[in-house]
Amino acid sequence: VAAQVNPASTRSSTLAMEHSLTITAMPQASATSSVQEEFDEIFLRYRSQVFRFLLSLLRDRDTAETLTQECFLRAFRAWPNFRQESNPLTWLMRIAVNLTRDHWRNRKLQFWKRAASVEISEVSDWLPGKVASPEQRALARQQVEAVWKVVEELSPRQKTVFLLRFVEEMELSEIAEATGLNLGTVKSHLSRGLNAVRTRIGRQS
Amino acid sequence: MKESFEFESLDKELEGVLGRFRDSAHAWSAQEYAQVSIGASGASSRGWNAPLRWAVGACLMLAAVAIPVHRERVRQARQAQVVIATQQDAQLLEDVDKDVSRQVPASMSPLTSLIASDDPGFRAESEQ
Repeated sequence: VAAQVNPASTRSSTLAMEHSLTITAMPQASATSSVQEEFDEIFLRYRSQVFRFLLSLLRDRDTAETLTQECFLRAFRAWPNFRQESNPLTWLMRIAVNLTRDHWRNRKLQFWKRAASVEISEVSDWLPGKVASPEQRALARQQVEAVWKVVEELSPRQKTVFLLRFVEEMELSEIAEATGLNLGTVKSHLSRGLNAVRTRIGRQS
Repeated sequence: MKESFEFESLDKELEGVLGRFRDSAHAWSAQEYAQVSIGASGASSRGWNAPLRWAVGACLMLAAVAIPVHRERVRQARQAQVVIATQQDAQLLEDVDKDVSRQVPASMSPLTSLIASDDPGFRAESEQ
């Protein structure tokens, strides 16, 4: 029995509406509606965060957008089986991390992937508004660029861990869960990333 | 940064740098997020956006180069045709001149000398 979207549901996201016909074998319409409402809430709450993580990891808006869609589509399909044992964000990040692994593995589009990435110098132009004087701005820009360069040089796994920690501010245990690594490996990856940042900043100053 | 472990004892400078990096990434992402419409359309077509844009760009660039080159070739071909036509005309005129100016048969020679002696204009021309 194909599931039906409740048209009265004001919170139905367009994603859920779009893929409503793909949900099959749900026992009751009311149960479907409830699942969908729950997922809508998750979607609205976390989509920007998942997008931000993917954007900072790939530096490509279109790919980040596509993978965010894909992440929520997979999550939506698996949502009835999600047992709330972990934080929904950690679960979503795990899906996102797996998607990026598949993305990096696919070598066919390597040229497009490299070509589509935003330049580090361009990304570093985005500075928080609280940086006031031109000197401060210049220094902050230099520092942000230095960190992006370090991130660029890290391995995909180290990069993932680094960004989950220092952009998404996730706990180490959550990072371990999202990446499927043990806590010790997470710490070691972070330590390498931090040492690289320290070295580069030291070199600059 | 809620946990307390060795990374929490980051020195102030590094902490400040990482904080600025985080804020910068958040600001950039917020701006980019405002331009995307996640959930508003199918995911399948979006993956081709960047390659499609590059392909269209490449086609436009190719057209931008190929059109002037083609025009230049057409212009050169036309010029060559004009030159050939001019040469052919010149050759034709030369042939006509040769035909017209060939020597008269010997039997008509007395007649030509007669014209030359009778016509003062002709005489003047021939003297010049």
